[in-house]
Amino acid sequence: MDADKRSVLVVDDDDLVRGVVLRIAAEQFTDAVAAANGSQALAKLESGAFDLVITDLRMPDLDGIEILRWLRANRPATPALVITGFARAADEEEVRALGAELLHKPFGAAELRAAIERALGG
Amino acid sequence: MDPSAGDGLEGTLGAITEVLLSVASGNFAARVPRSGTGDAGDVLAFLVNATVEEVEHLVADLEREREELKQAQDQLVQAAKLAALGQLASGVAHELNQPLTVVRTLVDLMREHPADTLAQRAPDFELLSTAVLRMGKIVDGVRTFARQSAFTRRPTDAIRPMDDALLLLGEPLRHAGIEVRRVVESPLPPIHADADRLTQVFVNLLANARDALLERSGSDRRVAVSVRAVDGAVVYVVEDTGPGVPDDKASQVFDPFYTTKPPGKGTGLGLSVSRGIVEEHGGELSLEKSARPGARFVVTLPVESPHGR
Repeated sequence: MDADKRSVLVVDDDDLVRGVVLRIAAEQFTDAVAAANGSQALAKLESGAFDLVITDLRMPDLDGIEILRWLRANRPATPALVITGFARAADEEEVRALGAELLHKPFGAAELRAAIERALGG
Repeated sequence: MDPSAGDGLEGTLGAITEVLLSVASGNFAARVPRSGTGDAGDVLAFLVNATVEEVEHLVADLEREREELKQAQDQLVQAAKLAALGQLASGVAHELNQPLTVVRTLVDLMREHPADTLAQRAPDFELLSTAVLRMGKIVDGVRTFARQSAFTRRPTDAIRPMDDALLLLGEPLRHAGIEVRRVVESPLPPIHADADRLTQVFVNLLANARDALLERSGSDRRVAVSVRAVDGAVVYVVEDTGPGVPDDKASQVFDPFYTTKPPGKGTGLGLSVSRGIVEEHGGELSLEKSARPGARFVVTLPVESPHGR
């Protein structure tokens, strides 16, 4: 692993989930940043570059799909991983169409690591 | 009856009047006796009988259709209940997925450090504990919804249900950037209530306020909860600065299964269950028109002794 700065953004409105995903994601990144909702996430995205964005779908304000759309429009090279406990087939199609990986909750550490790897193109 | 009655109309008219009066009182089997002579009176009797028979069939058809309609309605209500249960179940499943994820990943992480002592892993046990408690709350929520516990009223401090709900939702509300105002006008008489069920009502009202306020961004996001005594009653008001309920929906909000939330996000049963609970206490839950934008729900509970009524 190179010593370059690598940062990941984790977006989820559940504080406990945010915490554990951040911990596991931080294993592979030098900087792990959290956002509790869509607007916080956009604020962080607008002011910085990330090597991976991990986001939930359903959040009270902006949902994950809108974050993905923003990414495709403004940071097309940034990989994304959607973690979700509730996705209809239409959502799944849209997530994949927007070029993101998808991981269903509940998941364990191994599944999350594998999903991160897939998202990063491994 | 009088053979010299000529065309038979005289006698027939009397019989027709009787039959029509009989039909008017619901006897569709009444018929005008026929002389069989074929005279004007007989022809009229035939026509009246034919008409009454037609009416009898129409009424029978209407009765049958009404019965079918009622059955269809019952089926609709049943289907709606099942749909609501389905929504509830999928909502519960989604909710449970969050703490389940936390438990699974934490257990995995702990297993990856088998040499660590319990003390070293104490923070993770804390998190596990919190996650499991949340799962318990979700299950409790379902149970409360299913109303398996008996309705028991006790003398209760009027503030308690309101404050218990604020305990549960106050932090999440503030965390979401919503200002919470609490106004209590003492003194307040005790109420005779099932405190847990009333708490559920205030939790429902606060949760609705939170969802309404989250729809709007900006700094003026506020929910105010107040209570005061008025003439033998205790009046609670829960109002928010959200978008409010449009006039054309005001009468529907308490309908079972009415919800403005997307599938999986709400069962639409909260307000109808809440109203049921308040009414079980002999009180009223209503949505009041307010000059300010936002929703204003009022809970009125009678102050009565346990031996009253």
